[in-house]
Amino acid sequence: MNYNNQLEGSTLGEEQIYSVTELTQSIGFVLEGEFNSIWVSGEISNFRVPGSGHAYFILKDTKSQIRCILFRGEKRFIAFEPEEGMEVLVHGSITVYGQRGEYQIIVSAIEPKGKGALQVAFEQLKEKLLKEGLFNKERKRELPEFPERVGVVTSPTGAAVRDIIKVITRRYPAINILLYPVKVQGDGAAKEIAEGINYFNSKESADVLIVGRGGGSIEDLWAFNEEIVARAIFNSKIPVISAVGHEIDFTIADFVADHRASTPSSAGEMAVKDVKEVKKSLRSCADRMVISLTNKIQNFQENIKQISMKRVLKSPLTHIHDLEIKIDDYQIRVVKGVDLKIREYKLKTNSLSSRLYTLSPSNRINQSKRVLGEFKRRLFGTTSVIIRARENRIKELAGRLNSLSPLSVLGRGYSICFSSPKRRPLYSSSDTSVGDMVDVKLYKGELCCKVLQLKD
Amino acid sequence: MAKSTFESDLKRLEKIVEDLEQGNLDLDKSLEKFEEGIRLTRSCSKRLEEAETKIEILIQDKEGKIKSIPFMPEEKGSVETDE
Repeated sequence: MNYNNQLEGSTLGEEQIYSVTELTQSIGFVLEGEFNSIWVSGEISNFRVPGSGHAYFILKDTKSQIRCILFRGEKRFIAFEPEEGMEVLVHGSITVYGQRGEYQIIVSAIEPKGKGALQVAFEQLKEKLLKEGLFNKERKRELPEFPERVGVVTSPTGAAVRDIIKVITRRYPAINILLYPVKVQGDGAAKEIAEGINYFNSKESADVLIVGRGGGSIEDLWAFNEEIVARAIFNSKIPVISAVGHEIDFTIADFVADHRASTPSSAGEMAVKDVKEVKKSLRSCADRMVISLTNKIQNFQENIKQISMKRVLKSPLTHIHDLEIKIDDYQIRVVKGVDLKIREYKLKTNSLSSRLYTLSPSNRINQSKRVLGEFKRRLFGTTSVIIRARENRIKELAGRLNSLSPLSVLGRGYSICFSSPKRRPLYSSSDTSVGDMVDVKLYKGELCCKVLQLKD
Repeated sequence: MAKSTFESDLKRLEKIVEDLEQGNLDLDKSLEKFEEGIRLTRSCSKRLEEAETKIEILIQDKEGKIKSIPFMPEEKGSVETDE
């Protein structure tokens, strides 16, 4: 027997003799040929990612297990994070690792079993950000009541931008809209959206942001489920309204945003008030001021009247004073009370003029007639204004209110004398003394005067 | 005080109305507040009437600088794009 011959000849009788490497290569050839591009179902175990960035895990079921490698390059394309114990479908090819005599799966894709990969990724990111506090209610900010500029991050060509602009400009035309155009789906969309949000923040060039797009499939909306967008919204100093898809679509962006709009149109409604409502509240402010002041003046007038009753003959000036206040008061009531009847006006002017006749010497009568004429003229003017006011009420109300100010009496040549420097109106010469400084307020400008003499 | 915005003016106006309605002010002070209130009412209305709608889009110019230009959303079906 020649032992050596048997080895060198590499055959034993009819049978081939392999070296270990040859055998391993042959096994590899068979396995890799047979199990190329296969799907395997199992449970992930011992999942780990060392420094290289490649992921190693074992896929197992109740009786068997097989090693798997997920290279860094492929791992990037897997939306969700594989987790211990997760039931998955793995796609890949068998390779034989000769140095250890092992076979393993080189993984090219992993799908969670039962749910879509994106669904799982969504839930995982939601869970993670929830734990980090990105969805906390306490951090959600109120929207500004009157933004001067609305920043919009969306596609410049979609229906969303049209809807947003249409709704905002219809509700509140005194607005400035600045659009940061982005891709809203596909590669790089999430990055662009995040950059848009960051841009507005770095320039502080908007009071509120709308970030969104129209409806679509979960794949279409995916950019708004990416972490980079969530972080940008979270870090935004400007309040953010998310407006992604339709009523039923919820994205991570919706959870992080300060406010979630169910559609782009409703984001527009959230961003700005309806100008009609604003005008209404301005009107109500003006009305309330007039009413308050009228009450005030009525009280004041009551007081004056009581005093003047006692000093009627001694001081005709008090009467004129009384009269002026009364007239101003009437004017205010005229404008306020649209329902006040003409007959009532006449009644009042009649009684007023008869009172003047009985109370005043002739020069006073002339003066009072002039005042009365002025009053009538204004009264007449005001009633016709009231009819026009229906059309453009707010503007005119403001204008008319100004003309009502008791200070407008100055425009008729009267002046007010104030003590200086306290600026209290002087009602009597005894309110001051010789040598005092007084300020005389005229229709235009003021005089600084010194009291030379006091007369009763 | 910070620069006057529509919001700050309106807040101020509401405060004045409340003060006047409280009725604790003397007549002079009331008149002063009233006139300020009227001024604010008028300037707020004016802002609402006069401010124009401005819609702009950000673009990058040839040097890579970001600037804003007027923007009109495309009508449905249009495929034209600027630049």
